[in-house]
Amino acid sequence: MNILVFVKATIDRNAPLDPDEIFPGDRDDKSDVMTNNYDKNAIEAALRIIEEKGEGKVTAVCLGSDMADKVVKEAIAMGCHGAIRIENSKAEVTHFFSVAKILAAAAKKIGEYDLLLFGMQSYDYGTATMAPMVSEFLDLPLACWVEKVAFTNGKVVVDKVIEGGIRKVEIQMPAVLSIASSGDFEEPRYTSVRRIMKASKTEVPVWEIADLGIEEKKPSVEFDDIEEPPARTEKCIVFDDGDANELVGELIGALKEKGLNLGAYK
Amino acid sequence: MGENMINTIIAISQDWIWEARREAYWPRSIELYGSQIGFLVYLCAAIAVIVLLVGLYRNMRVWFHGKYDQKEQTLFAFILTLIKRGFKNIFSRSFPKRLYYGFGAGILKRESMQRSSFIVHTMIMLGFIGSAIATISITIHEYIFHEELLVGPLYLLLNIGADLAGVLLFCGVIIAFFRRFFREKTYYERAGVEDLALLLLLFWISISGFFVEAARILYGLNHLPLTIEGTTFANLDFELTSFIGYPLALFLGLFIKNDNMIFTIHAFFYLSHLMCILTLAIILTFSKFFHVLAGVGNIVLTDVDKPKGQVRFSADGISKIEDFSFYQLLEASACMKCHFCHNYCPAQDSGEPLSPLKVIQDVKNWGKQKYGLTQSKKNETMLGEHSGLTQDVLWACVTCYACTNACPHLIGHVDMIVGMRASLIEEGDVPGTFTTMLESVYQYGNVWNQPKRERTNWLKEGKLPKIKKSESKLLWLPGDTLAYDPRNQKVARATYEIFSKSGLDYGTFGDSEKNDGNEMRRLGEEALFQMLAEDNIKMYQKRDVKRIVTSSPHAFNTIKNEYPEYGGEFDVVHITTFLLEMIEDGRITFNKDLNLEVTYHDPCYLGRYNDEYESPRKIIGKLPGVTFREMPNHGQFSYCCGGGGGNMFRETPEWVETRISEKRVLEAKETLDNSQHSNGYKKVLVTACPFCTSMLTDALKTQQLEEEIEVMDLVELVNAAMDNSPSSNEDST
Repeated sequence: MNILVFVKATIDRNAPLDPDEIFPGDRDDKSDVMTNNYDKNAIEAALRIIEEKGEGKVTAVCLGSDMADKVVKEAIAMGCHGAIRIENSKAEVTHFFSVAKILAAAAKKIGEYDLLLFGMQSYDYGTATMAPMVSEFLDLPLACWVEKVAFTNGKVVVDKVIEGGIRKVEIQMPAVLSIASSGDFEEPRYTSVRRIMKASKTEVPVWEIADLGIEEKKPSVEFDDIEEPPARTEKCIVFDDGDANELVGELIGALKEKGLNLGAYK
Repeated sequence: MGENMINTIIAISQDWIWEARREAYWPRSIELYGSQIGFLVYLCAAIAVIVLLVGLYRNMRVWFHGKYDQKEQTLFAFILTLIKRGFKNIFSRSFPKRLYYGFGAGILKRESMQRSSFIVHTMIMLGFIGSAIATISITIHEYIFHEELLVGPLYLLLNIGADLAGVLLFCGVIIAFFRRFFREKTYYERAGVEDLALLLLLFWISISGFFVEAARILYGLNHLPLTIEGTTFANLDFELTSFIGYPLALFLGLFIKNDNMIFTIHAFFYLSHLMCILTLAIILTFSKFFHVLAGVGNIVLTDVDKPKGQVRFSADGISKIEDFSFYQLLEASACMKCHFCHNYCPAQDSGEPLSPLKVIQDVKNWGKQKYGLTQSKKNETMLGEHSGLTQDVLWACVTCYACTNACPHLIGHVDMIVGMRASLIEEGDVPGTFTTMLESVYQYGNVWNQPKRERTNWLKEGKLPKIKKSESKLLWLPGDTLAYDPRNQKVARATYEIFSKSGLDYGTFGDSEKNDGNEMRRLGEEALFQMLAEDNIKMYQKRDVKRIVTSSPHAFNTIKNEYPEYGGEFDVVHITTFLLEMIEDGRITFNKDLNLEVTYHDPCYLGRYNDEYESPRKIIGKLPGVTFREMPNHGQFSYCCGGGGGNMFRETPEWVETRISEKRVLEAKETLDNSQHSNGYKKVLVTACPFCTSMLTDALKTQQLEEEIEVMDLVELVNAAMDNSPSSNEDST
């Protein structure tokens, strides 16, 4: 069984925010970059499937600049058998639609695959659209937010999260799955520093977008700008000193003063 | 009259002393039982010796599948290394320590009834060794020296020694029996068939020995005058030195007159004595009795000078027998199931599946299963349900060192557990909360998953001095928990205030400080520890740090005991030691009564690991208006807060009813109950470790004791007592 896992490099949640540097490729410090944590659930799922089957190969695919090297190598350290980075220097391709096209093309180029796994969404933008788009471009069946994976007669049976429950779906392989951060794959395995060190010595092949046979030269949608919201001037007022009944009155008075619509309450 | 008596006694004793001879007729009389019995006895002896050797071989086979000192060593070269090491250890300065343990004095480590345990053990041990020496020397006397060795005074000495040993053995066994099966039922609840069998064997060996002796003397008494090896004796007064055997012979003489009866009695006791000894030899290597060999081996070979605060394990982690070192497997064999470690383990006490005793026994049994007499199952992974060494067991360890501290045989439980954790880390089988914590340390250099740049946010007013600008090059390491944990940020501020008020010249690394790595190593994440240690050492050396003060005992421990392995030798002190110095120098003066009633919880990494019990207590003694009360478990027998070894970040499993920290605060509450001071005195549980502060504060909340007790760091008390800024301002202006 060949599994492709698509991983994304995002800005570390503890890195300082800067509207001018919202893509990993914009940053200079490697410690500002981290693996999208939902993708770790996908890697965990891929590794578990392979471990259960006893045979197969997991390949991690990542679109990113050299800052994403760390992410690719972390995937290898976690246990992926191989990895491919698609060079996206200086973040020239940023829109989801173009990214999905590139990933689909990469999957086509790799050729042999039974499952394509995605994290359920990305940590930074959280659109959760990559798996559906890639499945559309490759014309493959899709299951989103998968909590559990099993196999019967060459088909994959998944438990996917729907509102208020779980839906069991049987899908023909190859298929595209996005893995939920709950259920079986909730806790991705720990990657020891020793493994990271070992993985950092491996060579990861780098593909160019141009080699993937994508027709459009320019991305269909371009990222324009991102701005920091204006700083808030309002201050938080806490009413906690005194009798509760009086405090409620004070609170309502303050809200009315601000011109808040209190609905039926007059 | 008196002179006459003395002369007589001298005359008699002179006869005794120079003429005494062992009645040599007896051993030959084994032929009287018939040659078949003689043959059978030899056969049994041969079988016992073979079984003993086979058992020994089985145990040693496991040991030699452990790691040797150097990788490329051959078996033969390693045995030479062992012999060399043994001699070197014996003739080194650690000899008294080894002798102490060899004598069983490790038993004194037990807190209650330690002396009586030690006395009973010593009685049995001396009795056993004495009897063995007596038996062996008689054998040598008969078969090698043909009755010419133990003659005169030597023989009398042997008589006295043998009977003394027999009495010691007999009394020791009887006391041990009653302690195990009647008096200390709770403590020895696990004393089972094994204990009973061993005690019965030893009991019968001592009893039958006396009867054999008595039968021999009785035969002689019945055949006076007696000729032994050409000397004729009119009486056997010299046998009075067998002070048990002789009266027993006289007593038997009342009932037994004819020789055949004596032969029968002798035959019965002689053969049963022999059979008991042979049985003991047979079960020696399969029972806890094996500690007489493996334990001594371990005491001779082990490294007693290893710093307590240093964990040692194979860097690849331990997941199979081959990953243990030779010495660790020897240690496992030396375990005699005394249950000291089991009884002191706080995790075990709180209902976790971890028992240090069971871990050691599981390792031993797994080794024996994989390496039998002939078959070997190499490289079979041992962690999991099948060996009993499950993840729940291994992660439950709080590395409090109570087990190793209590072990009379110098077994390193913590090292083994941490080693096995390392292999789980390598496999990625880690509870989720640990994963978050470890990843945070790797990514941000702190355990709290917080950004680096917020490390000094705890400081609301003032400015932290930088080590670069400090002249004294005195480095203060607040540590992650003081920096990020809201409860402990108060401690950080208190420390800062003390330092500011006393005008101390010091420096910090500010935002660029990094985790010390102590917990990483205890979790088995060796590579991460190494990375942190190397980074930190480089950083300290670059700034030419002269002295380090740490707020966390964990950092103190690892910098003191483990950084030297990576080339970082620093003068490091824990904040309590440092504050005591300042108080004694007069740089800190107290001017405010605190009106507190306090008890002190010893942090494991300060107390048990680094023997710093006194400084905090001295500081408490100097605080004005503070009454101190000691908890029942204190000093080296202190309980734990449950936060060590990374367990601060572990979710409490559902099978734990009362957590370790909760047990500790309940103990503190009991200690502080019945206050001497009716009002105005607050009750405080003082500690000196950020993890302890945090864990115990949480426990107070869950036990609803917040109204009654407060948990405070010693630093906060010191700061409060030197508060009163107006007066000090007035003094200075």
